[in-house]
Amino acid sequence: MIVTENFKVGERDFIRTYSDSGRYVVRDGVSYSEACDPAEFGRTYTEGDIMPDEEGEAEEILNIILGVDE
Amino acid sequence: MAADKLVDSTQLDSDLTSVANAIRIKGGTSGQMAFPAGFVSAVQAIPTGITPTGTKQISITANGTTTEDVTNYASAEITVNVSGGGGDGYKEKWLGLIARTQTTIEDADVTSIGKSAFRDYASLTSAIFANCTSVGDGAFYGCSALATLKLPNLTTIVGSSVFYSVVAPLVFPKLATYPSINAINGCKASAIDLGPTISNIPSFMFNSSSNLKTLILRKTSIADLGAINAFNGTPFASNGTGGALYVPSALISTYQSATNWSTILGYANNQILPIEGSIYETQYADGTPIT
Repeated sequence: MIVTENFKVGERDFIRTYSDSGRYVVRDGVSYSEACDPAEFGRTYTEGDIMPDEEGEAEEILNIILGVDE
Repeated sequence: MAADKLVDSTQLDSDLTSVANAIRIKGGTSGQMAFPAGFVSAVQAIPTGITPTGTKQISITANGTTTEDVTNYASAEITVNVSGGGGDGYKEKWLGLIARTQTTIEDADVTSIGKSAFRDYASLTSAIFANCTSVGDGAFYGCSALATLKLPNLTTIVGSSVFYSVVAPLVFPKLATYPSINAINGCKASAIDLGPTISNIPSFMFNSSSNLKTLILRKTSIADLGAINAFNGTPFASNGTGGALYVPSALISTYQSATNWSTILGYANNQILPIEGSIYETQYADGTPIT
């Protein structure tokens, strides 16, 4: 499901759009891990493909930091 | 002497013939050999300097000891892999690196740099590999004194945190691929020039690159930004001091209205500037002239 959240930086309002099921969000054929736009743009997104396992990549990064060979 | 085993002489003849054949193949001979002295002398006669054909990846462990005998390989046949790294003819050249007493390295023969090759090599100040096309996971991780890094033909970054804590400008005019996240995170470069090919910036790409003030994207169509977290912990972030994005002038309005870029560029301290007319029109971010 697509989720949107409002946030403010300084005096400016922005909208963050993401999928709560780990999918890309898509607009005009371009996929994003998450999408942030100025609120006045009024953009909408649909869900796309499931994103790759970033958890696995995070583990890989941790291994590098710790100097662990896989 | 007690006879505790029966010997099948037919089987023994067969086994000895198999061994003799193996020795003959290795030794390049068809000569008869008597057991055992003939076998011994035949093995001793096998030349040790056979030069294999093809390429050889050399492994050197993280503490700098080679685990492979490379003496039989002609240097021209070695594809040096620094993590990796070294080889016959290269051994002397690389000894200083292995001991980590050397502070600079320049080697046009290196074509790939493997995982953690220079990890935590804190005294390395300059690394120039004119023909290296690939670097691996954490290859320069912890090279905090690395002020000069030249990889002008780098096309592929494999893995993550490859340049963690590196202060040298990262300039990759040929870069074409990198993993989905964290490829360049944690570097301390003030400028990154990703050249004309990269078409997207993935999540967490520059995460924690706390000195990143200048980013140059030369592609003549927009490089999509996967998420604003690509700039977490950088001067471009919402709580950052600000950064400058240089792009072709024709794309400035495109970036300003694009998903995620519009947010990054909407932060008050960030700016987008045309490459044309800037110093980056004629030189890369490390000052190398564009020819």
